[in-house]
Amino acid sequence: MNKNVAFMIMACLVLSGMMTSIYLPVNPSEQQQQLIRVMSYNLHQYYVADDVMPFQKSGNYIFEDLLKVIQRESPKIIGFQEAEGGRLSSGNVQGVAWLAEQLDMYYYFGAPTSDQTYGNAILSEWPISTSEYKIYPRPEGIERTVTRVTINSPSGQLNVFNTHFEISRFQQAQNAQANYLINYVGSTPAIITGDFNTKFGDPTYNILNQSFTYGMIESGLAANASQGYTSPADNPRVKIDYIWLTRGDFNVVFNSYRTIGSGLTSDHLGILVDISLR
Amino acid sequence: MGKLTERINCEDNTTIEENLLTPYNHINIMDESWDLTETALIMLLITVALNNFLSKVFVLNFSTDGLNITVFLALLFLLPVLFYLLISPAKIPNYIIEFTMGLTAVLFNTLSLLPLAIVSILSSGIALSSLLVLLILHSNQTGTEVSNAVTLYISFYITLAILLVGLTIYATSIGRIVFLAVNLIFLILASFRLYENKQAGESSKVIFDHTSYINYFLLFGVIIYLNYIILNPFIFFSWTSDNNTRQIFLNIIGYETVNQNIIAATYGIGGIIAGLISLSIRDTVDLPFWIDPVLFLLAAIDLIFTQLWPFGTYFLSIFSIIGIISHLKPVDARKITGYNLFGIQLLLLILMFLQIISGHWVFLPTIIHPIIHGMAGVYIFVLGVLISVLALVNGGLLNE
Repeated sequence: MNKNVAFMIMACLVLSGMMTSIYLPVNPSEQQQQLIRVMSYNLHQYYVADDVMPFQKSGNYIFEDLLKVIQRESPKIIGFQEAEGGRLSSGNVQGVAWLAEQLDMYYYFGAPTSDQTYGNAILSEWPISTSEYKIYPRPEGIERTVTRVTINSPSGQLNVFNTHFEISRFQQAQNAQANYLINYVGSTPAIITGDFNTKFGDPTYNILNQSFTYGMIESGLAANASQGYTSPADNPRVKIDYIWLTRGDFNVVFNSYRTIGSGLTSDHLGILVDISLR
Repeated sequence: MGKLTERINCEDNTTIEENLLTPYNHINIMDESWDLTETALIMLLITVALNNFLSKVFVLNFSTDGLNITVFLALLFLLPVLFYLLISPAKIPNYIIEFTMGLTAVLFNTLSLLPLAIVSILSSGIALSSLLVLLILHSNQTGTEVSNAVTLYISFYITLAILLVGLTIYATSIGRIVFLAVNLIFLILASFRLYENKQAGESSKVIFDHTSYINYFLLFGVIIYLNYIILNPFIFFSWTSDNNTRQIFLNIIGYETVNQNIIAATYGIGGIIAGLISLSIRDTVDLPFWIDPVLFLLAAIDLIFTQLWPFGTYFLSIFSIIGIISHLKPVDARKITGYNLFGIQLLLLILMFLQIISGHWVFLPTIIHPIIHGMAGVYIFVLGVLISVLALVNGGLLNE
């Protein structure tokens, strides 16, 4: 082995070790029964919402602009969809790891990259005690998943689910996923974030609405209010991203629901709402 | 396109055999470690340019309507071979080619950072082509030299991945600054080489025999294979998320007190240590040539199909890849034509293309779904098998 090469490799080792040590998270706040700001965001595989014309596309990543948007809101829990970056087509990035590090949050990423799904992730200010993912039944369309974590919050244990449903063209699959999700959540108090690809009044929306309450309505807005539109980000015309809550388990802060971001941070707008456990 | 082996130019009156034995004869002029660093940086810049290039092909085709005409920009990937075949008969000293290609790569790497996908893809494509010509030239070093360079390359990349917390180097402002700094260091090394070789009156010409094809395939194939999952430990960690080993590890260290990034980075640190151990072992033990390809294949099987032992897989992949590279040696000429180089490039392009579209199968015509749906890992494995088989054949040739 060349001695200088060995020296340079050792230097890399020391530098990597030093960098790793700063990944240690800061201790989270210990306030009891505090408000929990929940966010849901489809990340468009980390690309900006570019012009549709190929030769006018920038191909820029969203990372730095997205980070500013999220930091401004200081959410305690975030559900990300389309968060898979471990592909050559995404430039081989692991954006969830980076975002969690910058935001000083814990995270769970699932399904694994090897499953080749669009990727869901949940970030939390507080430690995650259990985590898992499930692949939905697939009568049609592509593989879709739901991710679940249990978070040890100062208010107690919180169950959080995050998912990305099939597009509405595959209505049969979407309905099957909604029913699967309802069974999976069961009777425990839960927050459910996601891109459900369903609009107000659609069959899948109605299925979900029978079992869960919708954060936006609880915060005082009408179910079809245009303030809730999330897609496309630059000129939102539909609402397909939701934060659902199990019935009777949470208080929602009046007027706290809103959309965030722009085409610089995804092709969807993010959504957030402030809640507390009853 | 004739046989490249018939085009060897030896203006300094050395024989082909002498040139094969010292194919990189200016290596004695510069300190060897700088030369190895330059090779490592070439591989690092190839990886970055390749990722930028492929991701921009995807950006230009990012639509639920499927691929469009811009997908043919992927054929830019074949440029270096055509370029090499064009310049190989010319009597241009190696160091002139190296400096010109190095300067071109740095210039277009810089342009590739511009926020317009079409400019970025053309720039990264040209930079990639220039860097691959340099890789062709550097692939004629001895196995020991290249294995040192590959270990350094892996260490550099993993360190950058840990520094940038899993992002690619051109994804953030700090990453872009680091990227420009790496390009600058590479340019300084290339300039230093130009000066040294000019002072020494070095005048060797492009020497390219079939050994280079094997070395080139193994080197470039290894870069692509590593880039899929291994190089960025955060991607390796997410690739194998939810496995038993991780759960056991988390239980031991206490789940509530650890950020998952620490585990991901631990993979990376383990990978650098695996490189160091592999290099050290090569200095002391003469392992049979077949050991590393077999270990590499076992690691690939676990990586793609079982994921039972991820940390071991990570460690073993890097350990065995360095072993495979360490067995690269110039051998006697065989019947391999210039088409082989073109074929290698095309094969790697097809494998990468199939691997990429496997993740987006639903947007492609139904007729090809059977060969892409759920096949992303399989195409990585196929590349792994090709690397192993070629390493075994290469070792077998040496033993004849």
